[in-house]
Amino acid sequence: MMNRKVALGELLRVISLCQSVRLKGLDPFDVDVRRKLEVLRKYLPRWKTVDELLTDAEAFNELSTVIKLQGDWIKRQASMLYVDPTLVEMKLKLLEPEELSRCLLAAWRPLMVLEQITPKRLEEAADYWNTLPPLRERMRMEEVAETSPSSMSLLELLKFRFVSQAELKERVEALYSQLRKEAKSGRVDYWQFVLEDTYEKSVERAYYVAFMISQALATLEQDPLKGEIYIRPLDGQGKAAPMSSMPVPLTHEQWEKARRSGKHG
Amino acid sequence: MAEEEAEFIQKVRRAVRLLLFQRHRSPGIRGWELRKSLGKDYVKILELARRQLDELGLEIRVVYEQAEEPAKPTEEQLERARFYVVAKGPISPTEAHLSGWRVDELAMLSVALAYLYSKHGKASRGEVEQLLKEKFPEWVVGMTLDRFIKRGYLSQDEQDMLYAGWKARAEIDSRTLLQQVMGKEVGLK
Repeated sequence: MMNRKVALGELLRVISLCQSVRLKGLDPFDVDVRRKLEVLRKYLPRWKTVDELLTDAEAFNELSTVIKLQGDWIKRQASMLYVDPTLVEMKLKLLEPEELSRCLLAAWRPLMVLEQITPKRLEEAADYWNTLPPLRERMRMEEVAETSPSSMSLLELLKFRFVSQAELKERVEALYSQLRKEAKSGRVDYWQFVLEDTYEKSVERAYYVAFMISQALATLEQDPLKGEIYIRPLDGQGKAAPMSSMPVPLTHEQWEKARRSGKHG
Repeated sequence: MAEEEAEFIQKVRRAVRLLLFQRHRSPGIRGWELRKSLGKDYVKILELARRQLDELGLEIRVVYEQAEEPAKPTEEQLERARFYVVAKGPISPTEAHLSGWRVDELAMLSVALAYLYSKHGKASRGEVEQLLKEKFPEWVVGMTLDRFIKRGYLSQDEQDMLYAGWKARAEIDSRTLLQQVMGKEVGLK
C-alpha cells in the first residue's frame, strides 16, 4: 500500500515536470524521457483503481507532449531562424535604443488598411441624416394620458382581437347546450351554473352567460324573497327580453363565499 | 471569353477591396470570407491581386492560426488563416515617427519580440520585463507592455506568458528582426 503511494507520488512529479516544461517554455531536453518511461513501465502492474490508471495515462500523455516539443526544438535549431537565446539577450542588452528601433523598422511591414467611405455608404448616410428627427424630438418624454380602469365592451374586445367572432360563437353554443341539458326543470341556479374551480374560469363563464342573455338565448330570473338568481334557457327564436339590466357582481370574495355555500355545480 | 475575362478582372478588384477595407474591428479578412465572396478559385484571384498590389509596393501577408507557417497549407488552413495587405519594404524612422511611434517604444517592442522569437515564441512576462528594465524605468516598461498587448503586438496568457500577438505576426518579419539584432555591431564601452 505504502509502495503504491510512493509510486503515485512519482507519477505526479512526472506530470508536474512535463507541465512546467510545456507551460513555461523550458528546455524540453531537461526531461529525461527514457528514464521517466521506465518509471511508468515499472509501476504499471501495481495500478488497480481507475484513478491510478488515469494518472498513469496522463503521465504518458504529458511525456508524449514533451517528445513533440523536443522534436519542434530540434527542427527549430536546425532551421536558419535558430539563434542562441543567451546570445540574443546579450546583444539586446548591449544595443542602444536607437539601434534597437532601427532593427525593428527593418523588419516591420505595417498593415495597410483603408477606412475611406464609399459613395454608396455616403448616400446611405445622407438618407439617414435627412430622415433622423432632431434630438429634442427624440428625447422628448412620451406624454401618457391617465385613464381610470373601466370595462371593455364585447365590440372592443373583438376589435382588439382579444376574442374572435368564431371562438365566441362556438363557446356560447357549447354553454347554451349545457344550460338546456342542466335546466330540465326549466331553469337552473345562476351560481351553480357559473361557478368553476377557479375564479378566472368562473368570470369567463359569467361573461359568456351575459352574452347568451344579450343574444336572447337565456334570461335571468330573480326570486325576490330568497334573493336567488336563476337562468332560464330560451329557444333563441323569440325576441330578446325587454331591455332591463340585472347587475350580478362577481368579486373574488363573492366567488369564495358561493363556493363555500356549496353552489359549485 | 471577353465576358469571363471581365468577370475575372472584377473579382481581382473586389479581392483588393476586401483585403484593404477594414470591415471588422481588426483589419484583414479570413480565407473563408474570401472564398464566399470570390468563389472557390479565390487563391488564384489572390495571386493576380498580389501582382497588382506589388506595383504599389504592397503585398499580401497570410497569417495562419498555428504559430508555425505550414510549408504546404491545406485548404482548411487557408480558410482559417487571415489575409492582410502590408507594405512590401521597410519604413523609414521618419515615417514611423509620423505614425505616432516614439524611438523608445520601437526599441522596447524590438527587444520584447526579438527575445520572444529567440525563446521559441514565448517567455514569461517577468523575464521580458527584467530585460527591458536594464534600459527603461520600471513604470514605463509595465505600461508599454500593456499597451503592446492592447494593440495586438503581444499577447499574454493566464500564466503570465508572453507571445507575439496577431499584429506582430502580420507585420514583423521575425527572421529579419533576429538577423538585424545579431548583425549589429556592438560598441563595447
